[in-house]
Amino acid sequence: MWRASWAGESGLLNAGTGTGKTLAAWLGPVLEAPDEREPTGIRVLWVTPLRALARDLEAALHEPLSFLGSHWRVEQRTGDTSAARRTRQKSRPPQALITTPESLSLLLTYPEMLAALRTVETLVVDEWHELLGSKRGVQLELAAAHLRTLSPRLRTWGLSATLPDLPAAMRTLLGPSREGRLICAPATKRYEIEALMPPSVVRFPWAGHLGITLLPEVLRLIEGGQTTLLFTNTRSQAELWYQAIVSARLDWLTTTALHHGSIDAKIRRKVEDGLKAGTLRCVVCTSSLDLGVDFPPVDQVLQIGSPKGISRLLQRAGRSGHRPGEPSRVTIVPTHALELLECAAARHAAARLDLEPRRGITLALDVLAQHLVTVAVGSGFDAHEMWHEVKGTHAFADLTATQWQWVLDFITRGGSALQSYPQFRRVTLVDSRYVVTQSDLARRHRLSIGTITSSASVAVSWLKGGTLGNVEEAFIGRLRPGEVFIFGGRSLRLVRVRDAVAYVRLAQQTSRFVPRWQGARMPLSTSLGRALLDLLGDFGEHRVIDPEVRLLLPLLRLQEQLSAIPTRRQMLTEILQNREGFHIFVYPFAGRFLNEGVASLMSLRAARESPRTFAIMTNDYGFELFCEEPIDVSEAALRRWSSTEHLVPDLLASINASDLARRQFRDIARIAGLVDPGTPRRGKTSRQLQVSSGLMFDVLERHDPHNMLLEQSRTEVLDAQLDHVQLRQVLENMRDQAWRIACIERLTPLSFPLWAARLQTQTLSTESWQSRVEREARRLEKLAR
Amino acid sequence: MSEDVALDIEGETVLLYPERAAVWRERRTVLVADTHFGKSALFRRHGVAVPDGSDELDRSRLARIIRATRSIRLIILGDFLHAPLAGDSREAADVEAWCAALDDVEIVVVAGNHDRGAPDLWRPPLHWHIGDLVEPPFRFTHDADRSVREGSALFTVSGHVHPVARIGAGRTRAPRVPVFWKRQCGLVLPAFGVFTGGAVVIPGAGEQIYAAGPERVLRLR
Repeated sequence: MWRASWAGESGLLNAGTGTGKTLAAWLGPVLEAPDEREPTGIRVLWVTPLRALARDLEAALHEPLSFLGSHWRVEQRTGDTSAARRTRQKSRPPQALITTPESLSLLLTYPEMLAALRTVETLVVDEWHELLGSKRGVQLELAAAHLRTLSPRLRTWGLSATLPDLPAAMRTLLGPSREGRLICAPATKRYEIEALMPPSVVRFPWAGHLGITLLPEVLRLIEGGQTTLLFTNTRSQAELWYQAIVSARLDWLTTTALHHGSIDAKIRRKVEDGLKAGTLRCVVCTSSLDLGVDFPPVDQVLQIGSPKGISRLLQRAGRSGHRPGEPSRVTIVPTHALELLECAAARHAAARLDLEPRRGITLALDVLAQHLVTVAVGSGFDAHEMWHEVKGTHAFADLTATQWQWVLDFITRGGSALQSYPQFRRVTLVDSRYVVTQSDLARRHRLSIGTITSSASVAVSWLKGGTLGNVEEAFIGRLRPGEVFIFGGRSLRLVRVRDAVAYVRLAQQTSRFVPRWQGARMPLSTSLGRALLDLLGDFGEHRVIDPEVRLLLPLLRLQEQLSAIPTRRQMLTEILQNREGFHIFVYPFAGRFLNEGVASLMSLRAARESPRTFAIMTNDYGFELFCEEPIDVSEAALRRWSSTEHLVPDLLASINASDLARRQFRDIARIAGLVDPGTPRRGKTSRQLQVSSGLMFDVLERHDPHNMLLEQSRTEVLDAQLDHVQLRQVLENMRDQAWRIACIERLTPLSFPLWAARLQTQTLSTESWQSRVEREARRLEKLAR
Repeated sequence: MSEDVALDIEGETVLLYPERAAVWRERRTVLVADTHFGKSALFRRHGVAVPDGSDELDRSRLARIIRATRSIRLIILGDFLHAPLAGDSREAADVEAWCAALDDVEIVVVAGNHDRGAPDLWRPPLHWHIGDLVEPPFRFTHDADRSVREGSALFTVSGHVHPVARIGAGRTRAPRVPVFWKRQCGLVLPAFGVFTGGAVVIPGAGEQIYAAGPERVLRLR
């Protein structure tokens, strides 16, 4: 790699964790450079996806320097960097600067920093697989392209974990026309994936049921290990498990900690230090600890609930067993019976290295608009030069001249020339350069740069001062002062909300209110779905080897007896008519989002044939279409509704009919600067500029229906959420499968969770819902025994 | 244009219209709240690309309801302007032209919190009323919770809250509609301006909410 780097080449380095990727990328530029005490500018720019990693990275990069006798300075530049340090970096830039995609964009807005960026020779993008496929990745692609204009000799090196298509990952980082070198270190890591076997298997899942039933077994496992990381899939689940553990073991209060993305950075850092020092017995965490430096004391990783995807599970497993030759081990704690099956399926898929593909997002006009304003605030740009710079990226290689002109219009005039945006001011054309001249606009734009991932949030703060973290505005909005909620592992009483700060004090009693965060729920990956169907097929052919599946036999036999088993060859549809109405259950095993796509498509087409309304409920395995009046369901009808003909127009129609595009617009509006980010302690002007993205969506639809950002929200639903390429694949699979239509008398193990989840959204009183669901669950449990 | 709900307040009739307006029938008076004119222009001046046009539609809708109900008076219950306007701005000219076209209608604005700075720059050509406007059995005010409590026997008609309700079965994805919020001794009007947000209200005992529009006024609870 050093040879390639010294020759001025760019590329992608793929190697497992703990193999010295960091050193490999770092020492090349360091050894090559003349040792200078007073740098003239930054030589190495190191981008990391999480600012929490920057501090450890600084230490890791610093370590070999003294050994080499180098006088290089390594500094950070993230949202946590102090103002004093930031000012010093302007006058005395370090040789190496560690930053995040957002902070890098922010650097481009300071004219004084641009001089220091002109000297950058190497751009290292750490954990590129994490950024790839997200809008932050697009933001980085654009920033990298601009850096190449500032410093034409720039080399770009990505560091990435194993992905199915590494050459594509490299092309996305470098731009499609740039040559690069792909360096792969063979993976030698072994993984062991096993399930925590519950004493009794037949517990039925329903929405909202978080499965604390295995708590005693989990406590025993924690007791047996040295340091345990307990991963959950959502922040709310983490809060609940933390509560459950410390209430069961009061003496663990000081050695058990909670770590998730909404907890204040200072508190998180304390937890990370505790992990490194080995003073903690257990940390309950979310994806916030997926990445980053190793914590050597960690010897045990538990995953609560479905692993959702293979890559993520392996990444989490990799947090244990750091000694060379030792396997990485993860124990999955199922929260309901079918997750046992997912565990076995994950093991098989991991053995085959059937990892989820990641593709870069293309044509995200919101990110482009944000980037153009960023550059306009900094140095300003010439439209012709910028067009070539942007076209050179993977994300915008297919940008059309019309789209480009629209984005320019959007940032200068507010919208296309045909629309009226009087008095709009943001970017202006001065001497054929696009610039932002007013300082208030520049300031507002800087505030909005960091908002690609965060949604409107409210800081949670003690009355006496001191921040605990943040929660979504919508959650706090539902609470009244005096009410108690759980956050950061504590019971808190809401005192008041003022200027986007929720003031709280400690509460004595506990509460059932746990904040929910949007976008936290990941769908089951296609790789894992496939592996699940394979396992079910093996069961059908009486080939059961996995202990998890063996434990599940009573349940699977019940499913087989009441209905049938879906497999890769057999598409199962269950039809149930009861007092409530008419239920159609379909099981593509395609993950929640794709299942939702299939469901809305089928309901649209069914309603087109004979007008009726369907209620749709989806989970990772399948979906339910429910309607009150009976409907004639034949195999021919089902095949017609799920056909791939007219797919895109019909999908667009179903997106328009649903709320999907409006929901997708939330992020787009924020990134493009149409809604103010929920920055804590905002001033009066900023309060007067508050508007919800839904309202903005309505106003645009009415007064500027050709606004390309509206179009983008539809395209994004189509591409990203429904993923019409993958959706077509799902539908093609359905077409090629044999359909088994089972008319069922009562709910089956597969249909029960869907039914229960829909019932929950329809019934107003929680009590009646709970008792009906429990009654039905008991019936199924009795049958399975 | 049709009313679907008529409230009887001590012998006086208040009609609720899906256009987010109410009419005091006996006095031929249209009642609206929170028009927030000039809001989208303020956004544009701060670099937020909101298209123009919603103010214009709001104003013509308001004129239409005044004409259709043959009203002779309009009371705006505060937050007439979203932020102070400059006298030479296009928005100010538009508001003036609109008022001129309604010269046979008496227009009264009960000042709200957003109107506070309004007189500094430019004052629209209509009657401003600072504080509560009392016309028994009614008291007209912007924010019912902040107004003076004297004459508490009066029925308070107010705005400020921008009440909305979620309708439909689902919990989080249910669409929001602006509502009239009828309380024990008062009525909170929905925000008239289309480019305004809203606060979800949950009616207490003895309170009712009525969804405004799109075609009808519908009693929800």
